[in-house]
Amino acid sequence: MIIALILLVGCSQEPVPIHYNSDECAHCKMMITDNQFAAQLVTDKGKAYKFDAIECMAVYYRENQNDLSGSRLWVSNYNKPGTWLDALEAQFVKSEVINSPMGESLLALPGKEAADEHVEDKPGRLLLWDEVSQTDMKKGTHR
Amino acid sequence: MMGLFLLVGSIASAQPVTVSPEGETSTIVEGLELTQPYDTLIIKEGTYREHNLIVDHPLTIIGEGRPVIDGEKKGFILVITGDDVTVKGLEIRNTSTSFMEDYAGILIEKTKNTVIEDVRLIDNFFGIYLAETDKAKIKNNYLSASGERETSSGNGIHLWYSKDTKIEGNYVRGHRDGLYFEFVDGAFITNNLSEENIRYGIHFMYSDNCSYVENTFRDNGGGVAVMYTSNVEIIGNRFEDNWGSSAYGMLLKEINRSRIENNHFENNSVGLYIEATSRNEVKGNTFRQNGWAVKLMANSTDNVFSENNFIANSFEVSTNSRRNFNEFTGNYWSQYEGYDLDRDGVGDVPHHPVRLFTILVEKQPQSLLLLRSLLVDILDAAEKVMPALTPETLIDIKPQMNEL
Repeated sequence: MIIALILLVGCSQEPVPIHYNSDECAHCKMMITDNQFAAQLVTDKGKAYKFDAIECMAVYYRENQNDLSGSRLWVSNYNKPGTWLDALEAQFVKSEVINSPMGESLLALPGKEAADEHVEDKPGRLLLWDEVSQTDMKKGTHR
Repeated sequence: MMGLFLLVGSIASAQPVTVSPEGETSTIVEGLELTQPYDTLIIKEGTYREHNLIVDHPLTIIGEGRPVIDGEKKGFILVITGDDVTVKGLEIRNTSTSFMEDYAGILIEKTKNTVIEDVRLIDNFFGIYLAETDKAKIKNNYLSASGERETSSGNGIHLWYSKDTKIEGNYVRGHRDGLYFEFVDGAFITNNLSEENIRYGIHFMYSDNCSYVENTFRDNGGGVAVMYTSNVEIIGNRFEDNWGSSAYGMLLKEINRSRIENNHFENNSVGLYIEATSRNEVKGNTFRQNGWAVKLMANSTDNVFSENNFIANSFEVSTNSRRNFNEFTGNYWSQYEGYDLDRDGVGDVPHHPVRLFTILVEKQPQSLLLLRSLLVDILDAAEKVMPALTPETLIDIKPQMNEL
């Protein structure tokens, strides 16, 4: 029974709650405050690493790939702050006019339809995780 | 002759336009319509329930008897898009809050030479928001919001892609970040007090060539964060009472070629946290009664710590590696136990500011429980005689005997 429980807990790679205004970003050390841009990855052992922005997760994941293989990646749904999307299935927008915590202005939406709707209103470029995962944090990349 | 007419014309329109609740012109939006470039608009005492007031030409707006503009949570309040606009003596309250729009009490967009002085901004989402502005001056304003715990709280004074801004003598509390700079160049920030903000007292990223002089950052959720920036001067500031698991007096991440001088770090979980940061001068600062005075991550190089006072901190310096590429020289350490037989004011044996126990805590935070135990004191004493885990080269060879 106990073993079964451990296995069950061990295998869970669902997103964990983030304590906004208290938890720290695993990559940039900033306090996580914004539930529109937060991200997290959960390893195959169930350990969660939390991030204040999507680009922080992208860079951290790339830098620690060997230790993190098999992780599941989660990103905040920009349209429904506080809910989570699987990063591999999400549609990302690199916005021209929305400021994100780390300046890359990446936001995640549930699908292409929502993203199209978003960029009608506020200009931005659509991309998928493949491209987002190569993001670098450096000065003035979006202008 | 033509010139004379023009002159007369401009004198005629230089009569200030006056708005008052009982007057002929009783709303600000009407008043604004009556103004010509370079006019003065006087707003008399009273409460004006208006929003989205657009100032698109040079203008001086003066409040008499501190009139209140109440946006009633219906959008932006003052939107400045013209050059050479000065705003003084108003109270601006109640913008909308939103997770899609950055609503601000005063939005300043693509302007030159804007002056905002002696304005009270109460319960706004963002207080003063500058986007792509040049040479703005933000002076002696009071900003207060009560966005407690709301993740949707905006910043007090927010700068984005702005150049040569002066920010002086402002008071900011209760916002997400008190002051926030992103892609800012050449700002001069002095004599401000930023306290009780949800995240950082001041937060800046990618903002080169800025000076921060004699400000106080107190009791903010996470302290102060300074990131991805070169060539900044942080001089004579106070960083106080920032407590919490992710709180720092000041967090430095990827800061290069900068000066951190004569600041005062008191009562913080961590006074100064330094990561991936190089070639900075940390000089003449005082670290008093912090949990950790300095946490210096090993990926930081060529930083020089000199003439600082380390007084009554639980831990003086902590690091995450046995290697060290930084220099400590001529600091005063209240935990120094050496002696000065030749009486030259410099300790005769080097000081090891990193305790063995610090390393243990870094690897195993739970061991903090043993902080005041005899066992740890014995371990520390043994480590001093024969370093096995602490960085051998992280020493001060000229520890001062007296406070500097």
